[in-house]
Amino acid sequence: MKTKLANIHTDVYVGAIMTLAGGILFYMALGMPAIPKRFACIVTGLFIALSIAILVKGVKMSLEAKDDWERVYQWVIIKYPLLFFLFLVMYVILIDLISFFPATSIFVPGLMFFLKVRSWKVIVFSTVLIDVSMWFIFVNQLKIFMP
Amino acid sequence: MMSETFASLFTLDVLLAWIAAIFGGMFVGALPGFSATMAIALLIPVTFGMDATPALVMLATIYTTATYGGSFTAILLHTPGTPSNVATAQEGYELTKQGRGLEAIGMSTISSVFGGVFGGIALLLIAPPLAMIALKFSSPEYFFIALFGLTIIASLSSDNMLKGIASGVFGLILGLVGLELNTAYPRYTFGFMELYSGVQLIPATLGMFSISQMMIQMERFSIKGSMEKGQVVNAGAMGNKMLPTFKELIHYIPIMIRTAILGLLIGILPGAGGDIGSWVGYNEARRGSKHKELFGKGSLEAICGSETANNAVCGGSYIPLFTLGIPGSGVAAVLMGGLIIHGLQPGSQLFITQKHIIYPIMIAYLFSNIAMGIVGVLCARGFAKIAKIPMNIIIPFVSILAIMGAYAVNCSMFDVWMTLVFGFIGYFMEKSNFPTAPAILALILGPMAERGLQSSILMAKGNVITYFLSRPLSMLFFVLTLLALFAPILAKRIMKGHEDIKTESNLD
Repeated sequence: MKTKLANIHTDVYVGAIMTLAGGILFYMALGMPAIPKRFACIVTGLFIALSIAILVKGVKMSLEAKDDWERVYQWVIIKYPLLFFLFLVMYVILIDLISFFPATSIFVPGLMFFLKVRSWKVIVFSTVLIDVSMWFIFVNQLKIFMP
Repeated sequence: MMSETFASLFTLDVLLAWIAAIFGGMFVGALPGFSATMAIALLIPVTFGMDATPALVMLATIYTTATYGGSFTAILLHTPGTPSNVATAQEGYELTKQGRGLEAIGMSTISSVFGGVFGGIALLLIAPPLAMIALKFSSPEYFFIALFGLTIIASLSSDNMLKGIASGVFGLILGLVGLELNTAYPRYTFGFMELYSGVQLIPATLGMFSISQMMIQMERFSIKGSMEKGQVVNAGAMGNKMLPTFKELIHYIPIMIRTAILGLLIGILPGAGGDIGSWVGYNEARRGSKHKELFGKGSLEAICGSETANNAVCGGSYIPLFTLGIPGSGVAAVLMGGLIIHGLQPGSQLFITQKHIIYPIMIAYLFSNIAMGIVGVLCARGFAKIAKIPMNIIIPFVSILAIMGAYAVNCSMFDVWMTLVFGFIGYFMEKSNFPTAPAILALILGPMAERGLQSSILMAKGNVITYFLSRPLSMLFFVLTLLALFAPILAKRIMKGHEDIKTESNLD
């Protein structure tokens, strides 16, 4: 079963998700008044058509079973990008909780340590440099009220 | 007019922005994995507090300087800084191995300056009269211009047109979000008040071009378990000679002229960017060369052709952007966002009511090509060291800049969350071979197309098709739209032709 699933081209999954999302958006467009509906229906309808085309192409590639396409969603490849994304999500939550500069002073060393930087001098220097440059650009120059 | 232009150019803030863009663009260009598109996307929020002139001088300059900066690491480390420097990497690195790295950089400098200046002069000469045509435009023409711009999507994704168009339609859906223009009906806002004004361009751009790119860089960590340490150039590989002698320069001038013209035309042509331009330039240099056997083994003529063409592309791509509001590439789409955010509407009005801003931008762009050459000659050895900066130090800095840039637009944490959402979507789009540039392009052009269509329907008072057919300019853009659809096929043939040449060179 596992092998069979692995042989399904990623475009099949992508096309199916897109078709489903397009269908929901099209259904929502149908409930709109006439003028806003017009362009929304054209665009979402086109999106469904293209999604189905991608799905069909993916099915064809899976059935051909040539096995020469790249498996882009292997856990070993996407693991670190997803962990990095999680770091960013936690950073934004931290900004909301303890404000920008304290959050940055925790995030930068944490991320650098995660990226296997082990020199504390480099970590401290980078953290201070980033904090100071952000303060200079956004607070001093752009007069932005920091979160 | 001229004195007014130069007066606004020689102010402290414009000069500082200009100098920062020259160094910054070359720095970003020399960093492998970073493109001019990403640099401009990151800089747009930083320019918010500036006046329009220094801000846009900065953004316009970065494109050409980043393209040139990419040639340093391409030549010395065989790592093209931007996609426009792949042809240069092939030939330049061969020369570096022969101990002639500095000579290759010298050739890249002279050629980039020539191509950039050529593109800058063409921009100044062609754009103003072309913009006057836009005075005759009404809603139907704007609808077809938007449609024409959207066909560029197909060109931007010539290797997978279906996914490119799907990405563009996704961008059109994003453009639907918010209050509808005529009835103020909220579409796809899902109860979020912040979405009533639509999907903001900057958070979407930063997410799709910066956060997603950082996630892609992280894959190197996944695969190797650590980031590669920065590369170092062997001092002996640089050599001592940098610039060609006058006699040698005379030999290269015909190549520069031919490839600059080609690069300019490719820049004007929607969808074909610096990467295609550099290969066309390479091809043209080889076609006219008496030393074809050197191509693939380290040819200065090849570097001359590719670097002249890719910098001429930059000026060329600004012509349809400034005059008609058609961004012909990903970089131009992001730059268009910069123009709009600073209150400039591309088209005829740019050259009538806002000429005090657009002329200084074009003149500063022209001179930035000369200045980058001077900086390049003086700092060549220094720029080669940029590749030593490890990614695990750059990633935190770029991520924070993207997040703060998104926040700075409206001082809104909602925009920060939107950036993360678009970063996540952008990463999976890239992974599934969906280009992200068409989505951003469609986000800009979608509302323009809808406005044009709705107004045309009202103006037609009945049969819209007959109304469209009765307007020659509408028909012209309709024909251009059809032609643009065939551009990718042409580009594919050119690329295929190059690959054949490359194979032939390797066999030689």
